[in-house]
Amino acid sequence: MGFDYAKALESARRQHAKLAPNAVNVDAWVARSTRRRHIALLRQIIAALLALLVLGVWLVSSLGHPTSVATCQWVTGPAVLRYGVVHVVGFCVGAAFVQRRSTWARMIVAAAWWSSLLAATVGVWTQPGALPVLMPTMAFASAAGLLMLPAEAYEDGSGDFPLRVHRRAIVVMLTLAIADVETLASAAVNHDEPGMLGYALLDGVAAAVMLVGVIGLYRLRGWGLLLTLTANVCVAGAAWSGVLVYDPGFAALLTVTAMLQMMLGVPLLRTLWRGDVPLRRERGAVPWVGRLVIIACVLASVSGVVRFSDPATLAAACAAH
Amino acid sequence: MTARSPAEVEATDVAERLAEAYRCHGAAVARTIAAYTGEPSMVEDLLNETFIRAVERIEDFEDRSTLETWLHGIALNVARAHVAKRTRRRRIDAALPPGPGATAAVDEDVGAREAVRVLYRALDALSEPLREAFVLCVLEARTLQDASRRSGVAVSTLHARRQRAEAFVRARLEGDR
Repeated sequence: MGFDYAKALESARRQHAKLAPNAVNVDAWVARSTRRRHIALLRQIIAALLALLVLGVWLVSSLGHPTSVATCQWVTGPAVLRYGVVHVVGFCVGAAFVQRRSTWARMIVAAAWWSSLLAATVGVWTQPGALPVLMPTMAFASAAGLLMLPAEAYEDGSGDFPLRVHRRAIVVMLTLAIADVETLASAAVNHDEPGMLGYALLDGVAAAVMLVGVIGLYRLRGWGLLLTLTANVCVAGAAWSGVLVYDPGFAALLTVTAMLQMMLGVPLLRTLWRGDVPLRRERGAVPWVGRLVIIACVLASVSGVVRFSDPATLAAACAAH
Repeated sequence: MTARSPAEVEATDVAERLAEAYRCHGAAVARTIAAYTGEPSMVEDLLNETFIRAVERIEDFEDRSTLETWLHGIALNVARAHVAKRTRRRRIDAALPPGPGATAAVDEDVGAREAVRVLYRALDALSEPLREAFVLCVLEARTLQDASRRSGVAVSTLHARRQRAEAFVRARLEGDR
């Protein structure tokens, strides 16, 4: 035996009709609004300082090369300038957009900083003598930036991306895809050995294709979703098969982000196929997972720095390159 | 008394404008929040949050809709975020006290309270767009055109969502226990 549907509705309506909000408190609104504005300003200042730190370390690393004994012999001055440039620019662009409320700006900020954090963490371990000061700094600055972003950043935005069904999944997917574009662009710029132009061009093409997919997906086009998923599969496959040349760490990084995007994209494809919104509420992402990954990356970077502070270990890593 | 900066004066002007809107539409917005969340005890907080966001975003307000519709849009966003947070919290902490309806007056009919609780449990299981269609079209008994204007969803889509949501909630209520 259940409840009477009509009576349940009536009871709910009666309960709501009794509501009488208290008298308006304008001063409390203004005070809360002002406090939030101050917090946002503080966030902007911290982002600018972090960007200055990253930019400064990059310039010092490039102009004063070699800045420390922890740099491998094979690393040249121009190489240092090129290795970090995409992520440094990405970081600064992210810092410039941190105050924007639109969804696209928030995605760019998060994507730029995630890409920097992941690349720096992997780089600390796989290329320890390449950018011994810049990579740990980048990891720290990106982690600090990501941790200070408001948790509700993706919730509604300024109405430029009004999607609600699967909103979180699409926004996370887009963020990962934009981060991949930055990682691929950086890889394209990093290929400096003779005869690597073809690989650099392939990286550039992969980044461009991914970017077109991102634009399509942001505009909620089916081809955008398909292109993003296909590009991910191709990049991950090409990285492991040797068509695109990366260190195993970067190949693993691109594969993990590709797999995450596939996992998020499959329910979307099903929705597209059925052409209707799901009946039941989707399981929301667990909010602390992202923060846990950020902290894990920082710890990994710190342990990498400690490990390669030993000259013998560093010399072995440099020789193995 | 300390002198206010131009920014503070401007913020106060905006708040005064919204205070007027609160006096005219506050009760209706509160009812929408209550209908969406099913938590009368939270309405005051969420209503305040709605108007604080409105203070912050008044420059985004365009004359494409009325102030009332715009405020309802913000209120729905606030209520939606609250429900999403509540759902996550409940998943993590199964020991939370019973949800909607538990704080209603003690003299209220126990059966009716239980029915409302089950109704909101069914709504919690629905996806957001279906929940919104149900709240606007069924609980608040708005016309499809009015609900469409407030939610920004096409009338035909809203109609289909309302039917699916209603069938689901009815089945949950009548089949429960």
